[in-house]
Formats: sequence, C-alpha cells, structure tokens
Amino acid sequence: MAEHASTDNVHTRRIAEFVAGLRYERVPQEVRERIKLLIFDSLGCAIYGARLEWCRILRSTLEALDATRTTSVWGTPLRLSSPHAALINGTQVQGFELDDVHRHGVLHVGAVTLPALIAVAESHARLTGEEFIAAAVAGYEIGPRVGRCMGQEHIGQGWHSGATVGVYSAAAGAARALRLSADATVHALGIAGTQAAGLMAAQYGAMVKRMHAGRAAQSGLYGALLAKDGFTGILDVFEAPYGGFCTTFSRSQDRFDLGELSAELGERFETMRISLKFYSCWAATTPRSTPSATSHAGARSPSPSSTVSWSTARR
Amino acid sequence: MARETAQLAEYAASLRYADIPGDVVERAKHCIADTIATIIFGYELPWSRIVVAFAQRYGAGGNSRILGPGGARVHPPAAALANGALAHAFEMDNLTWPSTGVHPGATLLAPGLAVAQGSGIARGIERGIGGRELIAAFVAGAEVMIRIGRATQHSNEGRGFHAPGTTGPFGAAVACGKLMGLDAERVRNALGIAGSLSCGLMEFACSGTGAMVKRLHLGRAAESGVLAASLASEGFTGPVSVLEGEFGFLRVFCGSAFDTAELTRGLGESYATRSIMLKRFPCHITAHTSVQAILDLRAEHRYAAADVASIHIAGNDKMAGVNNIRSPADIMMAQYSIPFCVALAHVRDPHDPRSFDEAALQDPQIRSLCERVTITIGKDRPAPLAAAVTINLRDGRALTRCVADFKGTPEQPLDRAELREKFLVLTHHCGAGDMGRMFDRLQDLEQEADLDWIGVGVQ
Repeated sequence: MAEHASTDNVHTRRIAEFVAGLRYERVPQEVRERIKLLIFDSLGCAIYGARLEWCRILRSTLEALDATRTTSVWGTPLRLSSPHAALINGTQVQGFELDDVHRHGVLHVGAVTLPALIAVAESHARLTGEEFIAAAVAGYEIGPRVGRCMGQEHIGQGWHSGATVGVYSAAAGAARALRLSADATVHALGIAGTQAAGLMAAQYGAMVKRMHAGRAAQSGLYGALLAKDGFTGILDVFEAPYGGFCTTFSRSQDRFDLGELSAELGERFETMRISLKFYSCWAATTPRSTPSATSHAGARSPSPSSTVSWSTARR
Repeated sequence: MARETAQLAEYAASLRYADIPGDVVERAKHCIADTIATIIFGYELPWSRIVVAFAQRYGAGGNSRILGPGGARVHPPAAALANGALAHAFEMDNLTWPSTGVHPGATLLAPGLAVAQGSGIARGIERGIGGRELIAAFVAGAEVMIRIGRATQHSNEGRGFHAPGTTGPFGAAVACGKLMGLDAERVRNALGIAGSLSCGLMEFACSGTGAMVKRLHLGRAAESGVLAASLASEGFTGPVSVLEGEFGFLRVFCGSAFDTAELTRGLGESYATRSIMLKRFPCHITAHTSVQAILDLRAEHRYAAADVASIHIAGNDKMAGVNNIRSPADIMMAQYSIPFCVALAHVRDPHDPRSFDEAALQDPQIRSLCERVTITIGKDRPAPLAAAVTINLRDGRALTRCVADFKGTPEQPLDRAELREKFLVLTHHCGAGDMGRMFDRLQDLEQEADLDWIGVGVQ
C-alpha cells in the first residue's frame, strides 16, 4: 500500500508486524506457561461472573436482541453472535474485580483479549493450540504497552484505561488468530483505536463499568473482522499529531511515550508482568504482596483462593 | 447540583407527541425522509458493502431492515450499525446550523427505526411502533443530543475526537429508550451507559486517504444507542451524572472548554430540532455557498466551463484553509475540496452524488478548472458561510455573486418539492414510482400505525 510509505507510523507498523509475525516457536517457555495460567484465571473469573446481576441483565438483553447462536457465552448454555458473545464474556471476566491486572499498563488484559480471541477461534478460524497461544501472547503484549505509553495521567484525565487501551489487545489477538497480514493488522488496530471509549465516571456505582472490558473486546473484534474484509482504518493511530490516540487521549503533544509501544517487543514480554488478584477489589487498593516462588503446578489450580504467585512485577 | 443528565432524562421520558409544535414535527419528518434517502443511496458504496456484510453475518434473525435494495432483515443493533454507517456514507446526511457536532439522522433515525421495526423481537415492546412514536423519539433524541453538542462548544473535535461519534450514542440512547417506553430513571441510565460507548478519533481526516472508519463512527453510535437503551430497560445502570460529573463526558472529552448550562438551556421551550439542516450537495458544508453561487451565475449568464479563465472566492478561514484543496487524492478528499466542487459544478450536476465519481476525479477539464481556483479570506462577510465568488471569463468579463445563505439551512429550509427532488435523485436506482410513493407516505408519517414498510425490496 503506497500510503504506508508516506505515513509516519513506525510504531503502529512495528506492533502490526510483531502481531502478524509472532509464531509459537518465538514465545519463550516461561511465557507459554504464564499465558496458560492467565487464560485459566480469566475463564474462572468469567464462570464466576456469569451469575452476577449485571451479567445476567446483559445476557437476557442480548439474547432477546440477537438470534444468532454461534458463539459461546462462558459458563452458560447461551450462544450468540460472536460480537455479542465477546461483549458478555469480557463483562463476565471483569464481573467482580477478580481478574488479572497489568499494573503499569493499568488494564485487565485477559478480559479484553480473550473474548475476542476465543470468539475468533470458536467461530471464524480453526487454530491449533500452538496458534492459539501465539495469538493470545500477541494480544496480551500490546495493551500493556499502550498503557505504559500513556502513563498514569491518562486515568487522571478521566479515562477508564482498561477500556481505552484494551481495544488494542483485543484487536491484536483477534488479528493474529485470523492470520491477518501486517498491513491488515495496521487497519485492525486503526479501526479498534477509533472505538476506544470508557469514562471513569462509571466507577461510581454503575453497572456499566463492568461492561467496559467487554466493549473493548468487542471493538477489537470489530477491528479485526472488518479489516479482514478490506475495511480501512487509521494508519497511524498512535503517532498522529492531531486526532490520534496518544495525542487525543493525553490532551497533549508530549505527555506520552511512543517508545514504550514497541520497546523490546518480542524480547521483553509484558505477559510476565501481569498479576493475578487474590481479592476482589481494585488493584491500587490491594496491598502489595511479595512475589513468591510458587510452582506453576500449584498455580494452575482453578480455585481463586489457591496460591497463585504475583507476577514478577519488579520495576 | 444541577443534575443536568437527570433533567434531560426527565424531559425526554415525559415528552409526548401531542406536545410537539407542528413545525417541529415537520422538520423531524423532513430529516427522517432525508436520512432514509441517504441510507438507500449509501447502500451500494464499497465501504458500505463491508459494513452491510458484517451486519448480515452477525445480525441474523431479526426483523429490522437494512435500508437499500434487497437489504436483509437483521436484529436491531445490527440494523442500527449498518444504517448509521450508510447514512453517513457519502457526506449527504443532515447536521445542524449552527454546527454542534451532531448528525441527527444517522444517530437518531437509524437506531430508532431499527428498534421500531424490530419491536416484535426486542423484549418489552409488545405493541407495534408507529409514526407518532418514531417522531416523538426522534425529537426527544434531537433535543438532548443537540444540547449536548452545544455544551461541548466543539472542543471535543478540537481535541481530536470526531464529534458525532461522541455525541451520537446519547441521542441514539434517548431515541431508542423513548421507543421502548423507558421511564426517566431508565433513560438516565441509558444516557449513563451511552457515555461509556462514546468514541471516535479525527485522524481519518488527516491520514490522506479518508479512512472508512469515519462512516463507522456514526454506525457504532447508532448501535450503541440500541445497546444502552436495551440494557437500561432491563435494569442495567450507568453513572447518574454522566454529562456534568467530575469524570463525566464534558470534562473528559472537552477538557476545560465547555458550557454545562447549554445542556438544559431552553429545554422544553425552544426546540433544538429546528436547527437541523439538510444538505443539498454531497460535499463539505463550507462548499455549499460557493457551489450555489456557481449554479446561480451559470443559470443567469449561460456561460460554459470552457469560457472560464479563473475563479476567485472570498470566504472564511476554513474555506481558505482546510477546504482549499487543489489536488484531492480520492473522492472523499474531493468532497472536502472547495476548488474541486466549484469546478465540478461547471461540468456535472452537483446535486447528484453520482457526479462525484472516479471519472470526475480524473476528468481533465475539472482538474484544470480546479487548478485555477483561488480562495482568500474575505472581509465584511454577512454570515459565517458567506462566499463571494468571481468568475473571470476568457472574454474579459468578471461575473460576481455573493451567497450568504443557501437552501437547506433552518432559515431557508428545503420545501417539499425540493426535498422530493433530492429523495428521488438519491434513490433513482430503486425505481421512481416506488420511491415517490415512499416519499409521499413519509410526509404523513404520523398517520402510520407500523413502520415495516420502510425499506426497499429486491429490484
């Protein structure tokens, strides 16, 4: 595409090339193990979340609106169209503040990545286990990097960061699972990024806060599915000086660090810095515990009360 | 605490069709008819086809029609998504004057009609929804959404957001909530939920290729309204002060430049719906006065394109700046280019969106004329969009026309015949007879007990 040459989108391209090109063989063993644990944890959260009132309302509302029955709503017998299943599944993962968190990226990674990815795996593409893990890592690596790029000020300005930066994890995982080219992945990121949404006002007692992650997952899925069909998105969604994600959501030309987007991409794995939570409260209010050297075998237990280690979130 | 969000919700929930003044009903009906035509026209465009395919694939099983020849029936959110994007597919859909960063038709009619037609499917709506309900829902949504747009003072767009993608979910949520019969508390929750769905970046306008996502912003806003209202109807909650709150819409999207008082100014007294403006030409609004001047001058003096040596326009800063594009790279940029639109108006019919095609973009006569258009900022202009156009002919004559206003603005609304003409131009591929009958029925929309007939069968 000729326009790529003239657009300054070096970071977007790097992310897209990483996502499109990530192979299972390139994922270190410890990351493979870690991501399986993270996936397991999120699914457990979703199954727990399924019984919560806000998730029940979401399911009954969408079941009445949507007659498609292709894609599973986790922990329930319900099936819906893949975009609606993604919306509910993300809400269920985030249903009770039990799910994982990337502290520096400030987002719940599984809640945004897995609903889009699993919807693709279930309804749009046949994936081997290795391909699935590669796609999951592609997704889990991107959102935290966007969050690090934006820094703490993003939330200070009223954005619910997990919802805003989450669209990129969702788009990346779904794009990889759909085997999109790097060019198409640029568009997927650009379609997802322009749907980034979520106000911090929702924190105060509203059910809609629970839905932010699901919406991010759905927006990322839209990005990947539409890009697959040739719909075009913003080519320089991160770099654009006016109307791009970083400038617009930071209200500045300089209060973000584009370098964080692709620094050591494929070498340093942010997936290893994703923490699991023991208590169902916001991460900032959870007392920091010492990372413990729990074995992965123990960490695979599905019980929320089992001894899951904190990630190696040392900075 | 001024509780603006709650006040808007109370207003919307209590608005009755019988309370709406006749001229406001008329304006709403014109906007509805105009939007239906733009959706039907938009159906065939390449970017629309992708969205329509998406909506059909994931929206199966509903009763809401994607408007366009042979358009499928899908569930309401999918219909809202598709019709919202189609309404905005070619810069033909309506807005307001003065501009408030809202697109009423795309974000009120598209979701409202989707809910109305899908009423057999969506829970909680047992009875059929007719024209009066649709009009009341449209007006309620417009009154809320246009006020939100006024309150933003356009600073959301200045900060890089595509304004109608951010205001649209609120209007759509109100329109849909109204059709579902929600009470004030549930409409307030629908607004609260909509705030979490508000989005859209401006970068499409700068990336040089006119990304298709611009169309998606309106579709997603429409779809969001269906979702927000449906959830609220089931008891899902949103923040009670989503618009005025500390981390609410205005502060977060607009920074410090906004006016909260505009949210409720004149609510229930002066109708914001009256500020809706219909477009006559499929080009940026800043080009409308100049194109109208060309049509007037050509009608009066009967000169030919080949007679023109150069064209000069004295206009506003936008006309001389962002819309002063001499060599547009694609059709979307051509629609943004005043030189191109003015040149095209000498060779083709600027009322017909089909005039703005690849052949026009490549036409040497249009491109040559385009190169000979200069635009400067004029002094003492009588209105914000006023343009003084001077045609310098090869025989030495200079023809000048100043156009301050144009047909379609609230001051000079299109009359029924002009609206019909636009409707039939946009839909002529669907058969003039059928489309003429649909237009006539839409003029008496309040008489209709159900709305299933709005749509186009296979041609």
